[in-house]
Amino acid sequence: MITEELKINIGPQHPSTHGVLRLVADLDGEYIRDIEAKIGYLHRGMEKLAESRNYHQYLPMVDRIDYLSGFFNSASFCYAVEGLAGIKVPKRAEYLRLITMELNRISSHLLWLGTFLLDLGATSPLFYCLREREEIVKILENLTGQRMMYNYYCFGGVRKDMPDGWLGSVRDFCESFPAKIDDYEKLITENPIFLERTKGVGVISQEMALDFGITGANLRASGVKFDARKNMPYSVYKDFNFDIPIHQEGDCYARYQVRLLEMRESCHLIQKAITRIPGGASEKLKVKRTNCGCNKPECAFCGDETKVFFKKTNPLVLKIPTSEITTFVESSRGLSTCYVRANGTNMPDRVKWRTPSFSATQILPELCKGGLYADIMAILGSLDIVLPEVDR
Amino acid sequence: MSFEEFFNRHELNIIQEKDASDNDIWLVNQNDLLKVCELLKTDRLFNYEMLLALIGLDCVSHFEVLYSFYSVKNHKKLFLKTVLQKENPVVESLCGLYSSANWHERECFDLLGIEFLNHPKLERILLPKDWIGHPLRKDYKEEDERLSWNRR
Amino acid sequence: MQIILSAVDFVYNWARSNSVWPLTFATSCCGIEMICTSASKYDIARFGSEVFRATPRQADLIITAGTITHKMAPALIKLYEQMPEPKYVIAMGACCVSGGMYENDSYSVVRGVDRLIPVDVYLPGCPPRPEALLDAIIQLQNKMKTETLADRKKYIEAHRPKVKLANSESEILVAADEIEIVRWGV
Repeated sequence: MITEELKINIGPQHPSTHGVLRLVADLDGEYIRDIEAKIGYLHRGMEKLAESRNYHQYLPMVDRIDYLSGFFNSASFCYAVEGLAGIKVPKRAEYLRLITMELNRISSHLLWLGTFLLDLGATSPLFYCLREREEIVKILENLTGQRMMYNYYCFGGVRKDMPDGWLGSVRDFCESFPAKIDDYEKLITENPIFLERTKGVGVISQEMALDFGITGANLRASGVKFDARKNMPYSVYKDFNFDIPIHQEGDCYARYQVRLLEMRESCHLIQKAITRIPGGASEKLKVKRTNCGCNKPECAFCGDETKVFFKKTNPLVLKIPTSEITTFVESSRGLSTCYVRANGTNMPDRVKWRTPSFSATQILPELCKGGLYADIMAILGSLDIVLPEVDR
Repeated sequence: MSFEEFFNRHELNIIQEKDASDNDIWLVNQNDLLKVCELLKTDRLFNYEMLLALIGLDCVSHFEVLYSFYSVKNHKKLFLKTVLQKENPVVESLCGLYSSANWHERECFDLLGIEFLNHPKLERILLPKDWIGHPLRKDYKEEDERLSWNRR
Repeated sequence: MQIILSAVDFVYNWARSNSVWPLTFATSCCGIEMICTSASKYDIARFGSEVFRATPRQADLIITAGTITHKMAPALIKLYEQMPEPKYVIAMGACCVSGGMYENDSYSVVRGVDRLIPVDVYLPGCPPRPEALLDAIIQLQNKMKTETLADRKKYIEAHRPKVKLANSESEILVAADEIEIVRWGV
C-alpha cells in the first residue's frame, strides 16, 4: 500500500485554537512528522501605540493585551511607572490590588478549564466553569463597572474604593468556591477518557522548560519551584504565607492538577487578605471616619494607610526623566514583564511586553513532533495560550 | 571572587550600571557577547539557565539590544546591553545557547530590522510576509500604496 | 400571485430567522463575551442559535468578534466566500465597527470590518455586554423578516468582498473592482 505525506492546515479559524493560531502539520497517517506554528494574526502594534500616547492614555489599552487577566498587565505597567516616577501606593490600595488580582487568577483558570475540556470533547464542564466565572465577573463588575477590561488601577493606587457590601460578597464567594472545585474534581480527575488523553502526553522536562523560557504553571508542573510572587515579591505578597504547588511529571495531567491547586491557594489568599485589609469593609470605614473626623495622618482611620490613592497624578504634568525599568508580575499564565523606558517627556520612549504565552507557543511544535494528531489539542489546551498575548 | 576579578581574568571589558529598580545592567561589546553568554550559562558562579526576554531599542542615533537572564538556582536576575550601529545593525544570535532566543530574535528582526547572524530561520513572524518596512523604528512611515483602502 | 408569495415569504422568513446558526469566529476579547452569551446565564440557544458551527459551509451568520488585522483579513474573506447564501454578518465590538481604539494610528489593524465585507448589523461596545449581543441578534431577526424571496438576486449581488489578494504569493489585500475567485494554498 502506498501512502503519502499529507500537509494539513489547522487554520486561523478553528474552534479550539484559543484565538487565531495557525498550525501547519506534515502528517504521516496519524503521526506528525513536522509541525510549524504561524502567529501574527492578531498583531495590533501595542508597543508602537505607546510611543504616541501619554502614560495615562496608554493605561486602558494595557488591559487588552491579555484580556483574561487584565489586572496583571495593568499592575505591571502601573508598578513600572510608579517605580520610575517615585509614586507611593497606600496599603489599602495594595490589598485591593491583591484581592482583585487573585480573583482574576481564579476566573482565568476557570475559563481555561472549561475550554481545555471542550477541546477534549467534554461539553458540560464548560457550562459549570462559566457559571462560576459569571459570579466572579459580577463581583468585579460591582467594583469596577466593567466585565472584562477593568481599567481599575491608576498610578498611585486604585481609582475608587469598594462599594458597600463588596467584601461580604467576596467572602461568600470564597466560602462556596472550594466545594465547587471538589465538584469538578469528582467529574474530571478520575475520568478514564481524560486520563488516557492527558497522562504521559506532552511531557516537558526541566531542562527543556528552562531552555525555552517557560514560566508559570507549565514550569511548576515540571518540578521547578519558581513563582514571582515569592522569588521577586511585589505588592504585599511578602506579608502572606502561601504554598506553591508543584508536580514532577511535566505532562498535561500534571499541568491540570497544578492549576486546580493554584485555584484553591488563591481562594485561601483572598480569605486571609479580607481579614487584614487596613480599614476593613468600606461601610465600617465610613462610620469610623465620621466618628473620628481628625484628619491627621497618624490616625488609623483618617490616615494614609486607609486611603485608596496617595497622590492623583496629572496626565499633562507626569513627565519622567530618562530612565528605564523592568517589572515582573506573576500572571495567571506565567511571568509577565514590562519594560518601560522614559525620555523626559510625558510619553514613554519604548514599552516592551514579555508575555508568557509567547514562550509556550514556541515550545508547542517541539512537544507535538512524533506524537499523534489528536494530541495536538490536548497539548495546546494544557499550555494555556491566549493569542493576543503572543502577538501583542 | 568579585565581578571585577572575573572580568579581568577573561579579559572582558564590561561596564556595570543599575536601572531604576536596582537591577544590574552590564554593558557588553558586540564582539564579546557570545563569550559572555556562554560564561553566564555554564560557569558555576552564575548559572543563568533562562533567557527571559530580548528587547530591541531604537535610540535615534544607534540601536541597542537588552537581554534579560534569570537564574532559578541562585534566584538572581541580570540584564545585558549591547550597542549597535545605526545603519545595518548586526549582532550574533544566541540560538545555539538558549532555544528561547529563536522567536524573540525573529520578532526583533521583524519589527526593528536588526539582523542576527547564524540564526536558523530569520524571517518575519508577526507581520505579513511581504510587508514593507520595520514598524517599531522611529522613522517609520506607512507608505504602502497597496493598503490605501485602509486609510482613516 | 402576490398574496401567495407574501404568505410564502412570511413562513420562509419566520423559519429562517428563528434558527440562525452562527460560525465560531472569535479573534479577540469580544470572543469571550460571545462564549459567555452561549453559556447558561445568557443563553443564546433560546433565540435559535442552538449550535455554533465550526465550518462555514454549514453556518448562516458570522459574528466577527475581535480585532481584524491585515494578516487575518484574507482568512476572513475566504470564510465569508465559503458561506452559502443567504448569509449575514454582525460586526461585534468597536474594533469591527470602526477600528476601535486602534483606529488612530495602528499600522496593522483594519479600520472596521465593513472595509472588507458587507455588514448587516453593527454592535458597538468594548466589549459589548452579552445582553447587547442578544439585542443585535433580535435586530437581525427583524431584518430577516423584511426580506422577500423575489429580491433574492439583489441580495446575492450585494454580498461581495470589497478587497482581494494582490497575487497568489502575497498576504496583503488590495482593493477589488469586480469579484475574482483567488486560490491560495497552504
